[in-house]
Amino acid sequence: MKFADFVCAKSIQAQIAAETKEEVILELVGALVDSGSVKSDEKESIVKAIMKREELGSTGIGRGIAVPHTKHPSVDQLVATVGVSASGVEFNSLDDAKVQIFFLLVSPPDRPGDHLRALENVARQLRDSTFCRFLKQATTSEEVCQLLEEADNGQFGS
Amino acid sequence: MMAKETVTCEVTVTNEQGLHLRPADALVQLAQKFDADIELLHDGACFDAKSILEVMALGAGPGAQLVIQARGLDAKQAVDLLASAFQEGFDQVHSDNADECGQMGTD
Repeated sequence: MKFADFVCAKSIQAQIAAETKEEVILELVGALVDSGSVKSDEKESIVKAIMKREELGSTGIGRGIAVPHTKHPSVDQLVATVGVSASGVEFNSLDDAKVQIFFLLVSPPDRPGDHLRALENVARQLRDSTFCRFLKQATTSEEVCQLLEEADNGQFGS
Repeated sequence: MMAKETVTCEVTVTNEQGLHLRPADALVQLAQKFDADIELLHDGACFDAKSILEVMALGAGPGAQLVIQARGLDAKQAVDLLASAFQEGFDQVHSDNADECGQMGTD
């Protein structure tokens, strides 16, 4: 699975304004609503479900990366967006570091395999420290988009 | 000088939804308790069991066959503990269904 298969390019937020976990999740789900990837009347329910998932353990996996996610019946395919915060957001991460790179995923409840493949792709690419660093430095959604495309074309690590 | 022992064990992913983030995190936390170097071998590739990014990158679905390979003084203990955790599905009762939508009431 490639980024192009599940990341909604129009929803990418290269300059996250939010300063808390809930705000950043609101901002990213809002971006998915604005791009038409999720229905606006489902926004609150999706945000709530993602926050509920965070209570089970932070999806901040360290190295400034978080993958907030949930299953939700309102989507019929996996949708995701990417957010970048220059200053970082407190996210109760495994390594306590602030998070600068967010991959937020919403997947249909009956497609756990797609969710796993998307996580696998995100992790495989972010293992590459150059890709990670470039993403953190990106300031426009076009730059983020281009980096994702380069990653899809195998220009970083595995 | 004491030779470092390498211990391996074949395991199967028993979680219904594969090694998604929570079981991956549980695995890494167990692996980090040991001094031994611990790797997971899958499809000819090798992943560091103490790194969450590496374990996620494994992308192991339900039924996937992996080999745990540990090297170090506590390698045997590490492999035994991880193998039984794989068998038990990393506490999947608590994990796999808990974030299903519509279960807002779970505490």
